[in-house]
Amino acid sequence: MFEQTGPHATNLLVLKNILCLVFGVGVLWTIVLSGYELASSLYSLRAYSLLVVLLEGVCRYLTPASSSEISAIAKAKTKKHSKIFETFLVVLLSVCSVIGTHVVVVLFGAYVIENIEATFTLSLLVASLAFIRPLITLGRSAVINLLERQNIESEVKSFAVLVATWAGAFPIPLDWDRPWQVWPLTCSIGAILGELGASVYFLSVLWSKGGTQWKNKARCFNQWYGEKFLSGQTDDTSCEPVYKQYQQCVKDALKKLKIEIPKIEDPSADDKPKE
Amino acid sequence: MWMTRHRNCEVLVVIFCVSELLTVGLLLFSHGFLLTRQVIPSNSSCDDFRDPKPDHRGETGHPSHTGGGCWMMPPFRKTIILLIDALRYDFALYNASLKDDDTLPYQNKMPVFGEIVKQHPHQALLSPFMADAPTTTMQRLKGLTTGSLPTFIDASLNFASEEIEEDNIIDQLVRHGRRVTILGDDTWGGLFPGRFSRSHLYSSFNVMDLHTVDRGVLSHLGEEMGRGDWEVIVAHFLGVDHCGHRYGPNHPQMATKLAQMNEAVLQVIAGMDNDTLLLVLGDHGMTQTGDHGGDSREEVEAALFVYSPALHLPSPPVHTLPVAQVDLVPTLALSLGVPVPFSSLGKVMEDVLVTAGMSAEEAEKQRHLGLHLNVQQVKRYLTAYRELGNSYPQDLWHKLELLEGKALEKSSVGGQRTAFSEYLTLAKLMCEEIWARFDVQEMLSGLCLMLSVLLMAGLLIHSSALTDIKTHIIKRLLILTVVVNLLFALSLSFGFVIFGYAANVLILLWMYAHRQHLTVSQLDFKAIDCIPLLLVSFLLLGSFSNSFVVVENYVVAFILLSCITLYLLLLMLEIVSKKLSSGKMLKVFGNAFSVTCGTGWAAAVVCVRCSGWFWRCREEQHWCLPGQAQVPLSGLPQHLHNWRYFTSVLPLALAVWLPRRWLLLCGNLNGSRVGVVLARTVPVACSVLVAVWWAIQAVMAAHNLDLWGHVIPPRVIYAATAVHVAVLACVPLLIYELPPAASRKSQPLVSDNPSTLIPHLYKSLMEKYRTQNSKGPTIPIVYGLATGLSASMVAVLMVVVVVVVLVAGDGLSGAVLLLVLVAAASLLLQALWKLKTCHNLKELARPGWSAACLWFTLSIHGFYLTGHQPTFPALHWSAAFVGVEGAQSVGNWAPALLVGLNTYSSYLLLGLALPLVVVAPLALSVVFPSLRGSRLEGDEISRGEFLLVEEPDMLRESLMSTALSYIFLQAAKVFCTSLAAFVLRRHLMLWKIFAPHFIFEAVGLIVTLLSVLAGLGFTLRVQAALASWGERLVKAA
Repeated sequence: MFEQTGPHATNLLVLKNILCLVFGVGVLWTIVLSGYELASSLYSLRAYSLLVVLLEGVCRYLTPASSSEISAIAKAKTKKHSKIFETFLVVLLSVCSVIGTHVVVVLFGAYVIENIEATFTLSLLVASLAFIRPLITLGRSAVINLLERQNIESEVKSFAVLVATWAGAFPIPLDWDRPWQVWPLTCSIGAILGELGASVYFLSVLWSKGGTQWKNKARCFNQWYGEKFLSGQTDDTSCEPVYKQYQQCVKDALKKLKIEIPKIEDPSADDKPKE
Repeated sequence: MWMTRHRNCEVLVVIFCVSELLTVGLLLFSHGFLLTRQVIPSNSSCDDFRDPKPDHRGETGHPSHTGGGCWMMPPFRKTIILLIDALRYDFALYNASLKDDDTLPYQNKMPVFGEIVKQHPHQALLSPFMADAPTTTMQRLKGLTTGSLPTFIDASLNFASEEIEEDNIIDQLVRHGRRVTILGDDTWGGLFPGRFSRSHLYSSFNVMDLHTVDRGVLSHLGEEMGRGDWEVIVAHFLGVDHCGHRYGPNHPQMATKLAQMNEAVLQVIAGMDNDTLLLVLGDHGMTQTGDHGGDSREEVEAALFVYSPALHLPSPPVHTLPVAQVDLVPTLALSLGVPVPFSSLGKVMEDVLVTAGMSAEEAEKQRHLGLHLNVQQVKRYLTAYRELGNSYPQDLWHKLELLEGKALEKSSVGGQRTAFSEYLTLAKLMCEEIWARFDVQEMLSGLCLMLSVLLMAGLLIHSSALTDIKTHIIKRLLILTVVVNLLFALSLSFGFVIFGYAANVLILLWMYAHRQHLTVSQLDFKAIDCIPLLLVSFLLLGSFSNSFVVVENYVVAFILLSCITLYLLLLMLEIVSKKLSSGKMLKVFGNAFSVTCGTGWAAAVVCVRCSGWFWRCREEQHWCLPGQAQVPLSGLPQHLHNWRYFTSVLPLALAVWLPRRWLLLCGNLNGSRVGVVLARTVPVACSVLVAVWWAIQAVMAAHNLDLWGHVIPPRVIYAATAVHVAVLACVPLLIYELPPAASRKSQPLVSDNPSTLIPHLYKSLMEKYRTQNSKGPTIPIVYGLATGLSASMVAVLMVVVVVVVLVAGDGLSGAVLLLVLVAAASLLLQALWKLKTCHNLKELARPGWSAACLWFTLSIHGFYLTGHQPTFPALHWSAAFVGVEGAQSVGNWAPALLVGLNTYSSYLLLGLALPLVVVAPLALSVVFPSLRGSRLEGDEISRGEFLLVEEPDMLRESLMSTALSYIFLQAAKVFCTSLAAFVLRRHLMLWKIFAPHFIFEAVGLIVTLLSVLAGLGFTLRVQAALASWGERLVKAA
C-alpha cells in the first residue's frame, strides 16, 4: 500500500495527518477552555468541520491523482464527464451525506425538533469527517470504495470516526451532571478523538514503514558495500528485493509527479547500485 | 415415529432442566433478598402501662369501663373516620388565590376543610398524611390499623384479602368494649371478619364502578350516626380512587366526585356531637394518570383532616407539618382510651389529646403522658422483636438507648417531650432500615447456583454433546435437576444455607463428570457474533448503574438499533466484496437483495425510533413528558375519541392482516383442514371482537352506563384463543393437498386469488419412490409445504397477538404492531445474512449468537415499547378488568394473570416465536427466490422448511442451540440484575430502582422460560406431524 506511494505524496500525507492532529487538538482545547459552553462549542465544531473539509480539498488539489488504482478509475471516468459535473456531484453527495447522517442520528434517538442545532452540528461534523473527505479524495463512488476496503486511510478514518461517535453516546445517561455531558458534546468529542486516534495510527504506520524502507535499503547497501564489494565480490543479489522495493517506490512517485526519466524505466538492464 | 417423539422429548427435557435449575437459583436468591418482617403475635393489654397517677382521675383505676381509659384518660368518647380512598393532599387543600375558571378538575373542589380550619383554627387541622410505600389500598389498611410498616413483598398479596393476625386498633377497640360500625369497602370485612358490630359492605373490585360503594355509604351514614350503639364509625369511600383509575385526576368526573365527598363531610360535621372526633383521611394519593402503588410524592402524600368541637389545638404553625400514617394508630388508641397495639411504631399526635376544657398545665401533662406511654410501648416492641433473634444496627440502637436515658434524666417537661419525639422518630427510621435486611449467605448461594447453570448452558451450546445427545446424559441431567430441587426444598424448610452451596457443588461435579461431552468442539466467533455479544454485555453492565437502569428504555433502543445497523453494515460489506470489479453504485446496490436489506433496515430502525411514543415515563425521568398512549380512550377529551378509536383499530387490523397475507402468500390457508379453517377465521373474528369491545367500553364511559354484557367479548376471545391453540396443537398441519388430476377437473380449485399461490411440487421425495413404483404417475401437489413448519406457529402467534392487544388496551395497540414489525424486520435481516453467507444447510439452520442477541434485545425493547417500566406504579392495573367482573366469581388468579400477560407480553410473544428464527431463512428463500444466494444449491433449498422435517436431527440441534443461547442471555441479564441488587444492597436507590428492576427481570425470565418451552414443544409437535404425514404419503404412493 504505502510502498507504492511516492515521497512527495507521502510527505503530503504526513503533513495532512499532522494538520488533522493539530486541528483536532485545537478544537478540543477550545471546547475545554470555553468550559463546555454549548453555543461556543458548537461554533468551534462547525468551524472545525469546515476546516477539515478545506484541508482535504487542498490536498486533493495538490495531488490530482492519488495513490491507489481506484483514483485511476475515477480519473478515467473524469475524462468522460466534465470536471465541473464531477465536482457538482461530489457537492451534492456531500449535502446528501450530511442530511443522511442527521436522519440516522435522529433515528438513533436524538430529538427531532428540540436541540436541532446541536444535532445538526454533530451531523455536519460526522459527515465531514467520515463521508465528505472520502468523497473528495475518492470521487463519487466513495461509498463502495470504502466498503471494498481499498483505500486504507479513508476507510480507517471513516470507521474510527463513526465508531467513536457511536461510543460517545454511552456517557450521556450517567447522572454526574457534568457540563460535557450535554447532548452533542460527548458524541462530538468522541468523533474528534476517533479522528485523532486514526491520525496518530497513520502517522505511526507511515513513520515505521517509511523509516524501515529507507533504513533497510541503506543498511543492506552498506553491508554489501563493506563486506562484499570492497572485498572484490560484484554479486549484488543479496540486496535485490529491498532495493527493488525502494526503486519501485521512487519510480511511482516520479511517475505521479510527471517527471519522466527514461533511464530508470528498466532497472534490470542498466541501473544497478554502482557507487 | 416413536423414535421421533422420543428424541423430541429429549430436547424439551434438556431445555426444561436448564430452566428449572436457573429458576432454583433465582428463587434461592430472591428468598434471601426479599425478606419479610417477622410478625409478633403478642397483644397489648390494659394493664401494661398504667397511668402513673391513677388517683388524679377516679375512673382510670379500673380497666375498660365505658368512657374510662386504659392507659390514660381518653379525651373523646366517639370517633368518626371517613376514609376517602386516594384523597391526595392537594385535593383537600383550598387555594383561595385560584379563580374558579382556572382550577383543574381536582382543585378547590373540597372547600369544607379550608373553611372549617379558618373558622375554628383551634378545633381543626389539615395536614399531609404521608403513606409508606407500597401505596396499595390493602397495604395501607394494614398499616393504618396495625401501625407498623408494610414490607416489600407483602404487596404481592394485594388481591388476596387476608385476615390480619397482628395486634391492631380494631381488635383493641373491640376487646375493650367499643362498638365499631363499618361502611363501604369490603376489604375491611376480609381483614377483620366478625369484629364489627354493624356493617354495610360493598364490593370494591369493579374499578369501573364509581358510585355503588359511595351511594351505599351515604345512604346509611346518617342513619348509623343517629343510632346510639357505636363508639367508632369507619366509612370507606372508594369513588375518588375508582375515578382516578378510570379517568385520571384531570377529568370532570373527578370534580363531581370530590364535590360529593365535600357534601358528605359537611353532613357529618353537622351531625356530630361535642365529644366526637372526626378524622377525614386518604390512604394514599395518585399519580397524574390516576394510578398508585409506588412511592412517588404524588402517591405518598394523602390528606388528613382532624376536627372536633372539643379539641383545643395550639395555634396553627405557618407550615403544616406532615403526619406519618402510622401515627394514626397511637393517636386513635389513646384518644379513645384503649391500649396502643403491640407492634405499632407510630408517634402519637399529642396535640389531639388535649381538649378545650383543660387548663394549660393539664394540657401539658396530657401531652407528656401520651408521649411517655407511646415511648414505653415502642420500646417494648423493639425489645420483643430483638428477643426473637433479630438484631438492630449497632449505632442506631445505641443512639436510641442514649436518647431514652436522656429523656429520663431531663427534669424539664419540655425537654423530655423533645427527647420522646426524637426517640419515636428514630425508632421508626431504624425499623424502616432493618426491614430491608438481607440473608447474605442465601443470596450468595443463589448467585453461585445461577452462575454455574449459566456456565453449563454456555458449555452445552458450544459442546459436541448438542449434535448427538446421548440418552444417558439426559437421564443424568434429569436426576441432577431432581436432586438440586430436593436440596433447595431442604434449604428453605430448614433454613440451612449449606444445602444451596451443596447443590452448586453438585452441578459443578456433574459438569466435571461429563467433561468429555461438554468439551467445546470448535469456537469460531465471527464479527457478526462478537459485536452483538459485546453490545449485549454493555446492556448487562448497565444493570449496575442506577442512571442506566433509569434510562434503560433509551439504552435498549440504542443497542437494538446498533445491532440492526450492524447487520446492514456487514451485509453491505458482504455485497460489495462479491462484486469487487464493478464500481457502479447502482449496479451493486440496485438488485433485489440489496433493496430488501435496505428496506428491512429502514423499517426496523423507524419502528424502533417510533417506539418512543409509547414509552411510559419513570418518576426519575424528569425530562420525560407522558404520552397520550397511556391514557385509555375513556380518559381522553371528547374530541379525540374518534381519532383514538381509529388509530387503535388500524394497527390491530394491520397486525392481523399482515401475517394473514403472509400465510396466503405461502399457500397455507387453502383447503378445509380444521387448522386451516380456524387459522382463517379465528384471528379475524377475535380482532373484530376486540374492536367491538373497545367501542362498548367507549360508549359505556361516555354515557356512564353499566351494560350487562360488556365482559362477553373478551371472554369469547379468551375461549376462542384457547380452542384455536389447542386444536392447532392437536392437528397442526396447515397444508393443502390438491386432489389427484382425475378428480381435479370436476372439482375446480377453491381459491380467492390463485395467482398468489405458490404451487409446490413435492418432487424430490416422490422421485425416490417413483423408481420403485413406476406406475405412479400422480405427483401430489401440495400447497404450503415449504412453510409447513412455521405456518402453524404464525397462526398461533396471530391469535396471541390479538389477545395481547386486547389486554394492552386501546392506546397500546400501535405498540404491539410496532413490536411485530420490528420482529419481522429482524427476522428478515437475519435470514438475509444467513442466505448471503452460508454454504450449506447446516450453517443456514443454525442462527448463532447474533440472532439470539437480536432477539434478546428485542424482547427487552418490547417490554418498554408496550408502555412498561420496571417500577410498581407503572403496572397497568386496568388490564386486570378485561373481561373480569366482580371478585367473587373468578378468584384472584385471573386478574393477576391478566396483569402479568399485559406486563410480559413481549417476553411471551418473542419466546413463543423463537423457533421462527431457525426457519426464517428457509421460508424466505422459498417465497422470494430472488433473495436466495448463489452459494446454496437451488434444488435443495427450494424445498424450504420441509428440509428440516426430513432432517429432524438438524432441526433439533439448531432449535436447542437457539433456545439455549436465548435463555442464556436472558438468564445472564437476570444474573446481572441480581448481582447488582446484591452488591448495591446498601445503595440509596435500592428499593426505588434496583429491587423493582430485579423483580421485574426475574418474573420476565420465568415467563421467557415457559414460553420458550411452549414454542419449542409446539414446533417439534408440528415437525412430528409433518414427518408422519410424509410417511403416510409415501406409503399411499
